[in-house]
Amino acid sequence: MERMRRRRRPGEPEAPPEYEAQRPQENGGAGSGVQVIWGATADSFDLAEMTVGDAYRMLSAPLNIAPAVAALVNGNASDANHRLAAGDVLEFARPAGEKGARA
Amino acid sequence: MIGDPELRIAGTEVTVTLRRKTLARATLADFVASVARAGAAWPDLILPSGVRIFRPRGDCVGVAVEVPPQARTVRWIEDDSKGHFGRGTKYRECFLAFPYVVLLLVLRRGRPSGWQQLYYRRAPLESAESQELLLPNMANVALAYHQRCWVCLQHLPPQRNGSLASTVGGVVDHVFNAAFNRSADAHEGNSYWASMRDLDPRVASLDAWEQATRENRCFALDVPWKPAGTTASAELATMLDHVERPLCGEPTAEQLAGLVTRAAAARRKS
Repeated sequence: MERMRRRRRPGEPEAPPEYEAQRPQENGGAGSGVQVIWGATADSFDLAEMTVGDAYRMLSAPLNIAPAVAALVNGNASDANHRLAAGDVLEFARPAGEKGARA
Repeated sequence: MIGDPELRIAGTEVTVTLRRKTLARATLADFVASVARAGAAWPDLILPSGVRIFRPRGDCVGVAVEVPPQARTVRWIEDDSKGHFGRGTKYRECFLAFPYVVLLLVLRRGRPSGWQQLYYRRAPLESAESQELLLPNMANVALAYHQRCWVCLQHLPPQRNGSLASTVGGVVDHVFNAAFNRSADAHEGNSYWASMRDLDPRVASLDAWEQATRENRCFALDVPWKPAGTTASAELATMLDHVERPLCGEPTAEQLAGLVTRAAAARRKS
């Protein structure tokens, strides 16, 4: 699948060559992987057709995902029965407060 | 009974004596290097996910944590929110693409030291020669406290076991999951969200950023982020120097006396 590219803006530095080689798939690309995001981890796993609950059960130990996390698929809150598709982004996130000093 | 040997450190020389007889004499520099080689200050560590640079010094450690490019859900203050932070602040959830995010942290005894920065990059940290950092566009990241890209960790919850893994994980969680607001604009007088909105129309507003993310989750790698004019190694070294000063040049008895004093103070605190 050809990547979407835009023209370089004037003065904008050219991307270093390694970035082209390591660029992740845009919006899923041709792969069947689901990108799983948890903390500093963002890895692609073959989870297409699996439910969010099954994905959590499979990955919670190897990725050390906390219990009581929220699951989001492509930025939308999702329940355990949601079935994943190739190219999805599955996020596990702990609810947190806000940054900065208290008002 | 022979008794214990005694070490006498004066100026730049160390002397070992036993029963008033001099057994050995060495320069302080050689002695310190020898102690450093012999001492196992850090046990073997399994580095937490994302840690690309690990630089221990004394009871501190400087780490560079790299978060790969991704689109993720964050809570961000609405432009029309009347409150800048705290109660009454209006937030929204947004699905936003980020380039490589590099967190530079100096931890002292496992806890953040106040020296904490956040930068962007277009490529992973690979070698010492290619570590140039880019200025981010995040709220709660500001030029403050002698740091070009200080990131607010004000409400970082205390970590359960104080291990490097839990602290690093907690910081990454806090950076992305604690809501972004205008606290830095109010308290530190600036934020990169405010100053970088003119950089590219795709990150000029939350709506535009979210729309660009929906169209291409990797677009943040193409944004012409401004160079920070520094590298991960250089920043980490400067940050560590502020927290734990290195022995400079030829070690002296005065410097060692300072180390002994700090060690004693640290022991009293622990």
